[in-house]
Amino acid sequence: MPCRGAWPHLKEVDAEFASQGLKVLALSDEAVDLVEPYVEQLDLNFTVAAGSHSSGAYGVTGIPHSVLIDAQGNVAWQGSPYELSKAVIKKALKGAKRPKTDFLALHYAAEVDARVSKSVELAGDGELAAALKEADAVLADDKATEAQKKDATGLKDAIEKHVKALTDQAERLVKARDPDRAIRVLDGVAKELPSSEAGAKAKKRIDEINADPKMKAEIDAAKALERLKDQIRPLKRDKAKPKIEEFVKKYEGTKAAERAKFQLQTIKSKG
Amino acid sequence: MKLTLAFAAVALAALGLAFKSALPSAEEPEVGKPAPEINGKTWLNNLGTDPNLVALRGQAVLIEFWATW
Repeated sequence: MPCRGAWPHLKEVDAEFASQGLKVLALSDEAVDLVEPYVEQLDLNFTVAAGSHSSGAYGVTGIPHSVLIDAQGNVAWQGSPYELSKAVIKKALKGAKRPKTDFLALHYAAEVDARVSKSVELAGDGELAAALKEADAVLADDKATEAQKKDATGLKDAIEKHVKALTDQAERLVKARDPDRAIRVLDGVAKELPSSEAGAKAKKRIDEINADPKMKAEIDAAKALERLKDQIRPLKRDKAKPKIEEFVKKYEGTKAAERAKFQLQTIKSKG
Repeated sequence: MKLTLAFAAVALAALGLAFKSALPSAEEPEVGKPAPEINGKTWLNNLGTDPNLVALRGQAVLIEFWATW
């Protein structure tokens, strides 16, 4: 129970500070088949890990437990999530930046020649097209050394693999009936690399998803659920219940309806 | 006899130290010091590569340790 109670607070923190460069990560050491349905039902927006082994390194003796890390990578604060103040978060955000589209960013860990480091930096900021252009410039340069060319090729390969991993991820999201996120990923790839084969494929895939009636139903239901949530927020339970029931009936078979059904169960269990 | 006892005490103390350092640290990291790297087997609600603190440098990170129970 104490763990569950912290979610509204975390959601609020995420909603307020994500745009300023705060990344919220919720780590559980439990298995994914326990964690996933829970995350689904609670409709959490931030990133969650299952099967984490980080609590030892952080000396966690009780949960929920929060650790705030500043933009320089140092521990800024730790304790109960309920005691975390906005002032402390604002201080940790000093000097923080938010990547434009964070999922495009590729952190390339290999050490490279100084000539290729600009390209690596661009990839780290999610500027994949610019990174590829830089790497190509090295490869086209007669004066570039073999080592520099090897580094440039290595980075190009890594970017290609990264883009492939992103499009694979989009397919997994389609299978999980989350077309909204799938389109977000594909759109990122299509816009970043419009003249590449991967970019053209991503664009085509977006059109296919939008044309799929099942996916369209999921998108519509997800939007309607957001509206429903706003609508029932000020209502008492007995007034909210019939509205949710109506929604579940209307959007039956969609993921949003399953989420709404879960809401209904929690209302019932509370009496 | 006294010497033996003293020796035994030193030996015991050394043993204790060795034992302590062999145990995983259950201490919280120090505020102001680099945060230990995090890990997870499966990441949910995550677009792109698996998050890690090195890649997130430049952003502030709020880690929440939690469980479903």
